Amino acid sequence: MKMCKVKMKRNIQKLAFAVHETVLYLDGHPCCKKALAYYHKYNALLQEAVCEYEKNFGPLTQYGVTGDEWTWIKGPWPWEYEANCPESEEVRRNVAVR
Amino acid sequence: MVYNNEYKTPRERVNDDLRAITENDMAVFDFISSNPLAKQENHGCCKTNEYQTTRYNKEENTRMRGRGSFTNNVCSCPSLAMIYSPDQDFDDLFDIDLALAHGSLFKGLVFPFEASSCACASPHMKNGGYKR
Repeated sequence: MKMCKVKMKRNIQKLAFAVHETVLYLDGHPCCKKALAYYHKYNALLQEAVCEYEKNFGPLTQYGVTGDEWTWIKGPWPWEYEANCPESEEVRRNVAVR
Repeated sequence: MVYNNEYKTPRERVNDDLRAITENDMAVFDFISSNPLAKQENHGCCKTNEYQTTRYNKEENTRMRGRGSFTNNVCSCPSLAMIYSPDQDFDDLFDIDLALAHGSLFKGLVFPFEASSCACASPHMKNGGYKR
């Protein structure tokens, strides 16, 4: 079953946060094999989640554009509320449908 | 107005500062080595050979400075400063769902604010730590 846009975005946020925390730890502990294994595992999951999201809903960043069309301008701009609060976008869309 | 165009990145500026500190450290060490009275103040935590090996190993020193950590390569005496920083293990991690909510992947780094008269009176401390 396909996850909805909000859930996918939230999942990417969680994975990206875990990966970023691990990156910071590895900066200070570059020989920690446990942290490196954790990094590889969650970074792979993150890349997978990002690919899945971009395939269904368009690019997350300007570097995620694929295909013949410049789809980056189709979504909300990074400084717009909808880009940073996916729940509001979902709510707005539901309200518009009603 | 005279502009001083140095074209230095923040990292280069930090490296310059660290280099200046290390050179100062070396000067103090030379003074201690040459002064018998000052030598008595050496607590035995450093050996001249170790220090000189470090001193002339420029390439290694520069590499370590670039990482922002060269404490292992520089003699610990004379000390410019001392810090206490417990070693952090990659254990006791939050699940990724909770990590984002708590703002840390490490359970040991989460200290929720609990208003009380003093830290030891906090329910967080009385109950043996934060319940996760």
